[in-house]
Amino acid sequence: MADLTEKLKKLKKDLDSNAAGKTNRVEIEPLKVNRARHFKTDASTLRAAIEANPTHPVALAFTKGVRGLPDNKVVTVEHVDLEALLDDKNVELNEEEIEIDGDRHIAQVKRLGTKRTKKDKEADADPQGPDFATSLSPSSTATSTASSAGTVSSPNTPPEEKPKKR
Amino acid sequence: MSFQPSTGHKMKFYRNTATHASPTWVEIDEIGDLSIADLTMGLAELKRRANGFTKNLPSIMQSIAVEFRLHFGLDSATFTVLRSAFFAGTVIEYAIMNDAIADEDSEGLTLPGIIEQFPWDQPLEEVSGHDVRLATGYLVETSTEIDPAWLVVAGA
Repeated sequence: MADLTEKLKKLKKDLDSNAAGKTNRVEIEPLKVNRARHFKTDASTLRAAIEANPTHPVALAFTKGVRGLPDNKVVTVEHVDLEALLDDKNVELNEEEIEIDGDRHIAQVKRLGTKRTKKDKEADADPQGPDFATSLSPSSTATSTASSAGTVSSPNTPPEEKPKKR
Repeated sequence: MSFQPSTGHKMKFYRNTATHASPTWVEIDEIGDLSIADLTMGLAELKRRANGFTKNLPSIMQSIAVEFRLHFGLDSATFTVLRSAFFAGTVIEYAIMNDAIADEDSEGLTLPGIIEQFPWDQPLEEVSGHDVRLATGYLVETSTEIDPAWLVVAGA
């Protein structure tokens, strides 16, 4: 009897472990799914936001984005990027499991992070150009705050990869 | 716009003028018909004596192609960007959406694209323009290779 109980316990444990792996199906799907919340504005407003915090990595990307555009040109950016720029915060990428239309995805979720420190600013000031400055580097996610839906991508990145920030 | 039947003139086409990590989407609206003309999964045929049917195994996604009609003489800024990108072989990230990219629940395909064809038609009795053809391009940003993806716009 005790033997049977042990066997059932092990079976339940194996079943739970099997359930945890049910996202495997999407890991062979080649097309990533991204989810982002967007914000529509114009080039002139975006230039003002850049001017307010020109050393922020997002500002460097946006500078490239509005280059050559007339002031009244409508542009759409990711909500979390603009929020990070205005609040002088980092943007962090975390691995999360999300659901889109009933499908589960292991995804990279872009969220508003902590206030930029002096160290962050020095790292961002690296003179390797704007593309380098917008790169993602490892960081702690303990203090990240859920902001917008952010950008979600799946499933090519392994879930155990460390969180990153920009 | 939710997932519902729609016509192409209500759909939207964008180019990313910033970076993949922090995109800035600018609409390309002075175009006529647009089509994701090639979206094909590569298949490997499996034929054997033991079964009377040819079966197919998936391999890799084939080169994606987007074709659209760019009218000549409208939106000179976009025209210049696309013309320059064609002659320079520049890869730009594009988004082909079912609605405005800022609207909740809109969705579509994003991909790094290289302009493969940029012919200039000058017919006697029709509007002059370019039947532009984009193909999937190789784009690396901050050591990360950018792949085509499906974008779903989240709500507040």
